Amino acid sequence: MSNSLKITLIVGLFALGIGGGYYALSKNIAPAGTATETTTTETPLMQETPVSVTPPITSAPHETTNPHVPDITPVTPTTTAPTSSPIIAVPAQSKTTHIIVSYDEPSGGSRVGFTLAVDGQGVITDAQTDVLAVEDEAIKRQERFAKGFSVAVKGKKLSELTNIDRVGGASLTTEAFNSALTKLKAQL
Amino acid sequence: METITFKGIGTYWSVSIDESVDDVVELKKTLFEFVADFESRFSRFISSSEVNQFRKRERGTYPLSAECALLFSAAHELRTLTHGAFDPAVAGLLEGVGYDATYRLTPDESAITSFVPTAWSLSRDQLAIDGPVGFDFGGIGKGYCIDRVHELLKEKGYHYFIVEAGGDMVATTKADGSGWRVAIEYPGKPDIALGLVELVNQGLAVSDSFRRRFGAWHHIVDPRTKAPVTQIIGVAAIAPTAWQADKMTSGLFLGQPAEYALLAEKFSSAYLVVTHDGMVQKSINWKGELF
Repeated sequence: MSNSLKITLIVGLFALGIGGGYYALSKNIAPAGTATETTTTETPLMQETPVSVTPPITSAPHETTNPHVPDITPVTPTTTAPTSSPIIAVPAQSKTTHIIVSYDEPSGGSRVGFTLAVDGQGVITDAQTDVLAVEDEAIKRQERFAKGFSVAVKGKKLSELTNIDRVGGASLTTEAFNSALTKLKAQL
Repeated sequence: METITFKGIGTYWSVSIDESVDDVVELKKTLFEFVADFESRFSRFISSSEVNQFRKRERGTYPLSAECALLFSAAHELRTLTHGAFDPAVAGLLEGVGYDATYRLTPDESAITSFVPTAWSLSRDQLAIDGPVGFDFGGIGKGYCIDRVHELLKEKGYHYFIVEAGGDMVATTKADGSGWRVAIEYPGKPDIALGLVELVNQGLAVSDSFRRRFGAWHHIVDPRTKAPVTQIIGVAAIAPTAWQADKMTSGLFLGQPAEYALLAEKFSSAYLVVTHDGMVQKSINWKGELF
């Protein structure tokens, strides 16, 4: 990620909009009582959202407004979502994006942040949850969510990787590969 | 950089040492014999091994060697953490599904349906069994053995090395202090890497459900349901030792997802879980790059 653009994006959101977005992210562990699918987005995130582009990322993120929550959905693609279409319209460059969203908890409003790494095709390749809740129960839920959420991984050809010492894996091919690798290195 | 390769406990070993080795041939012989000795004591494929003696024993309590007791103690911990899904008393079931020394390809359905894991318990170095039982230390034995080879190299005065056996490994650092770069294979896609990690005084274990598969059966079997685990296609764990990482991957395959965090705590691990839908769940402390 060293040469990637860093985008800081804080999206203040209406509680209603959040429901849908957070639900999409937290299919497995949704905060109780908040996960209702509601609004959907009409426009790609990048087209109308004022964003601050700051390579490298600096201190306090800027506040903007954008209720287009479902842009976050590729983190946990549902079975209905077309996997091939880019969800976030971005130039052909990888980025790290920070998003903070607000949502309703039974005990009141809460906020949660997500740090997403997005590749040139707009596919989210990595994601982390930033726990921002202040109330104990909400913190617990966000931490649990942070521990358990998934990212889409496409993989990369082993042949494209350089300076590999070993391959960790369980297949017989791994054994063969490591054997070949160590023999080749011995010849260098 | 000296690299030594040999075969042991049914897999290929490769040990790379990033410093000068006086007598490579001698060291290779030492490592090979060390692993062969481990195999002769703990493999269920060797009829005279310590774990195989219980196949012919009646119900009762029997003394174990210190090392065997250590392995049983770890197996018991993992059995508890997975609520019985992991059980080394599964050897008879594994043979029933065709994973025996001769690698039969056809599962014997009657052996599967009639299988009941024999109850066993451990008290210090005393093993109590309910009747004749075949034990299998797959899922914890290899990681343990890798760590022992690591210790042996330390005793021999080496500092900078990586010990790898069949895709699991433990590493110190390279001589310049940098880590060992390891690609993690995408489960079932041997030419694709799902990520890259740098090992610095750490162990790595990777397990998938593709290896040695027999029809619908594969080598990871839940003795409670007598069925293979199907939802998860692969797991990886990084821990301070290869043994902890190995136990973690077994726990991930056979434990409940809600308890992954507890397992990670027990085995000081960071982990990845790849499910059949191609998603990767990673622990927050996973440091490596994913592709």
